[in-house]
Amino acid sequence: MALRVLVGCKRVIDYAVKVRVKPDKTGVVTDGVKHSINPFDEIAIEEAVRLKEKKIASEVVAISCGPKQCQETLRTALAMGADRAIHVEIPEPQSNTLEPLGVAKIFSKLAKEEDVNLIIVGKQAIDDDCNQTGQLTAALLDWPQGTFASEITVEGEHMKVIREIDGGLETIKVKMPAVISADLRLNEPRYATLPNIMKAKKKKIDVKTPADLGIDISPRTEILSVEDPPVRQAGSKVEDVSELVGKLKSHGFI
Amino acid sequence: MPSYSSTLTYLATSARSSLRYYKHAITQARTYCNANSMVRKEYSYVNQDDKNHFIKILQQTSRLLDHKHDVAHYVTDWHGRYHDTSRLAIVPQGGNTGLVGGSIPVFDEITLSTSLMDEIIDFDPQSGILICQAGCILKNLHDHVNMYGFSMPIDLAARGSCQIGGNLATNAGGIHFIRYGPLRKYVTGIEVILSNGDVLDMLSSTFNHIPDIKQLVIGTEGTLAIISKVAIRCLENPKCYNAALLGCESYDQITSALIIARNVLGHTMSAIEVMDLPAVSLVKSKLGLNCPLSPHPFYVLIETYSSDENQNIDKLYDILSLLENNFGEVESAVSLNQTQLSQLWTVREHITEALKQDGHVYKFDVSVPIPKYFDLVGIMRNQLGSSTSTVCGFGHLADGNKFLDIAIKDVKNGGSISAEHGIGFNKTNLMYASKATQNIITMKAIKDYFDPKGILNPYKILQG
Repeated sequence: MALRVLVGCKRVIDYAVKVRVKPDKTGVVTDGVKHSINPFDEIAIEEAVRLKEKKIASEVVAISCGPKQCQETLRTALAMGADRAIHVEIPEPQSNTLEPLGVAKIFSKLAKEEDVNLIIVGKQAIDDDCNQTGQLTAALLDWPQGTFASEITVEGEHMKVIREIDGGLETIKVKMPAVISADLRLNEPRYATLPNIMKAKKKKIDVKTPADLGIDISPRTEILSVEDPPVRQAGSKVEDVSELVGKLKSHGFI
Repeated sequence: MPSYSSTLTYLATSARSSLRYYKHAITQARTYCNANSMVRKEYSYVNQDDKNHFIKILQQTSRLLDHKHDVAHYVTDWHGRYHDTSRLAIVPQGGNTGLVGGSIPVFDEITLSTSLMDEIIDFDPQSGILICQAGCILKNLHDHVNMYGFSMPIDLAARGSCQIGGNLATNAGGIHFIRYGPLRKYVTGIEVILSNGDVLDMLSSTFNHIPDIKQLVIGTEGTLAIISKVAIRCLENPKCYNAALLGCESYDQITSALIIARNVLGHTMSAIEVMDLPAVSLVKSKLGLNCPLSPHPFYVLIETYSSDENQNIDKLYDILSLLENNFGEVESAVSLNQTQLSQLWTVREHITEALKQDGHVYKFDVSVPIPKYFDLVGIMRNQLGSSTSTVCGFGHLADGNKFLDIAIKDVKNGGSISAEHGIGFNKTNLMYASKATQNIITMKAIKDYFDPKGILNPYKILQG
């Protein structure tokens, strides 16, 4: 069967940028800071495009939720080979309180509207590290999930997923439709070529709002404060083993 | 119209003479690096009294290190009186990333490291002027001014280790040279230590030196004075940089790419670099870093900037289209974010490291007219054949400064010559070859005035 694939792409502060906490501790500085597509979502797009190139998938639709600038993220996805994109527009400051549950509701609604049978998302976003959207989406849709995928293979109506877990690699089989979350080693994303970027400009980006989809995205949690991690304290040097033992004893370690 | 055979003869002759030049250069390198052929001049030897005095100045025993290549810090507080009675030779050293042997002692000169002088004194976002000590690492300065939306007017692959004092002393070029121009343009002031220990404060831009003594010290590699503080005008960051890596099949294609890029981008071209397939393959095999394109004889990396990413992409696309008009389909990879931009640069910036792992490297930093450059690489590869493991070419395409690097295994004598990187130790003989005598006499006169005892970085630049 030809798969119709939905891929979630989050716009986050670029991986290479040094993040700074706002002086009022309400969050991090985002104004004027370089943003880009979440690296794990880039891997998700790459996997979807490869499925299309292997003729296993017939269409790849990229989604991003957030302010207007999310369309830049979607253009990257389109330049990598996605066919269409949907921008669920949520202006700031509301977008700052968008939680994985809200995103999962949006994805599951769109999955039904677009009649997809495979959703691929990055395992987590590098700004909040929640690692929840894939799992929540699967639960809302009552679909099986293959998370932390480092390899996926379509076998008829099933998908074999090799997952990265603490002890090593776990291989499972899920029946489609399913939700997959991409881990680092799933693939190495391609660069966009100049002709593809030009072609991407002509591809469609549909703009919707959460209201259009009838979804409530109000947050269930409140951010109390955001702070820098504590500065690492300097160590102290000791002259010999007995002094080391003495210090360990006096600090109560032994 | 010249006949076919006479054109061939011309090429063969010029190639042969170029080859003779390079073979000569290799021999010279071997000679200079064999210290037995150089004579240590009449400098004092460091004795225990000297060491005690240093320790008193440095205030800590741990800052005076007694082994080879170790360093005594802190120039600013030295009192020249000490040097009046003795004649101890000094080599100033920053990040020690130089490629010409300019920052290391030849015999037993005292190495003076500026590494502890790493204080950023002030940055004024109104004027963009940064004041810092000479031992600040370039990358740290980048990161600091970047917080205010500025960047340093110089960037090189060694940014994580090189220090701004050294950058100034060698008048380093770097990858953004074609956009920014020489570093000396941006220096509004420096503080230096003279050979008698006096501090010459030229930090404030309100005092007009006529002649501009600052410019004498910049680029003279620590032979006239030692730079201790620097005031540099930084430039506001453009909003976006984007780069495209293009696969090229022929030398003609590279030259076309350069001309087209210049036409399309004008002053918004911030960098254009070229590398050949041997260089890129070596980075893959030694360091495991992939090139995003399939194998091509050459690669060109073009970087541009503006306030709008779409503008950058459109211009890069124009360059591609024009190039494809003449040469057919060209494979490309474009950066769409900061991480991808760094990754596109990564292969180019790791070539030197990959070469080091391949064997002993002879680096020739040559200012050869662009058309001749890759001819030379090919000729060297053919002529040197199986005695080398890699002969490759890469560098800053637009400046005309490119690097011909030859990696050879099992070489007993070391030697490297480097150009855009200064004169240092190994190119002193070539200095004499390329400059007229009157120039040398005048340069020596200035050196003698600044350093009558000849203790600052001896044996470098001007041999005498």
